[in-house]
Amino acid sequence: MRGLLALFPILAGVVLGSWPARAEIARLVGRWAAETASGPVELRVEPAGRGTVVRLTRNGRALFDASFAPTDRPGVFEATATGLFAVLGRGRTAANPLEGEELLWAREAGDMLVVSRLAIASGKPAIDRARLERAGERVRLRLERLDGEGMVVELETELERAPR
Amino acid sequence: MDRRGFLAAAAGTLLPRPAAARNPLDELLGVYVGTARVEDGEGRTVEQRDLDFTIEPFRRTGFRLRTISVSLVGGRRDVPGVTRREVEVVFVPSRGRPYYVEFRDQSVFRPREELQPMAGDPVRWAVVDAAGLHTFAFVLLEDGRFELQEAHREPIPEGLALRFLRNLDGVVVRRVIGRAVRVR
Repeated sequence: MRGLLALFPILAGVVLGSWPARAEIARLVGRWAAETASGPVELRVEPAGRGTVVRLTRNGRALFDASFAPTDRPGVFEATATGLFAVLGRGRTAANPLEGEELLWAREAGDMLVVSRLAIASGKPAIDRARLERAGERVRLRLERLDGEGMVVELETELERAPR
Repeated sequence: MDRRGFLAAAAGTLLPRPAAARNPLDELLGVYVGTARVEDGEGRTVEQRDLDFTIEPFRRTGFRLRTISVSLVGGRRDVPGVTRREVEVVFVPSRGRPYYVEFRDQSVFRPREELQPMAGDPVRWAVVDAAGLHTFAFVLLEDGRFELQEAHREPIPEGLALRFLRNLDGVVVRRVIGRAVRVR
């Protein structure tokens, strides 16, 4: 019996697909929070089917709120449809920034998960990203935004595990 | 209509009407030749280039941008090792948005191809404003990093000032600075 129980995570992994194949995302699963000078920051990372929901808020405003699923590219995740689109079976949003939609994606970089967004605002590229990395019992967060020629850091903080 | 209204209406028909706002694109159309200096991310010059480019109308409201770039060897273009690259992109106005988007030929004989940025399709667009022509190309690389290229062609008395940036995941790794003159 104990042997069967030991096999369960392996079997579950085979049945459920590749989530959470990547240890980097699995280590971020949970609810995290921090109080910063610019207000509260909250991060939720939750498994959802084959994907992972990442919701990052600052002062109650969602900076990133999407479900990410693995792509054919190792370590690269694309935003999937949520809500009504998911119910209707449109699994992928196929976001087209040229039509005013936001392109959301995530990638693993070493021990880090980097969640990014491209939008075209009045013709100019707007790129935002959140770098998430486990640091002991905390999650280190760095928010960056494309400004001129490079990325500028908007916020750096460490989040603690928060009650669910 | 009283006399005052009639006079005002008559004056309106006689007075010259203001010209329709000129499209800044019209000022940029033409054939240009120029030179450029290529720098790496630290500002070191790594190459000299000869440039030859054309901005021409496409289907009344769009434009075609054709660029020929010749990378020189020791400042010369008649020695082995010289490379020549030709790029052509067509842009058409985006419906309801203040920019142009790359024209993707949708022939009736071919299935509609949707832009797939997640699959590595380049996302290309352009802005034409009083400052000049600005083109952008965003590509999601195989490992999830992004590459953003932007090229600015800005009018100066002698022609166009050229500025190109290649940004790899938030860091400028190439900068091209040059100028071009309009030719017949």
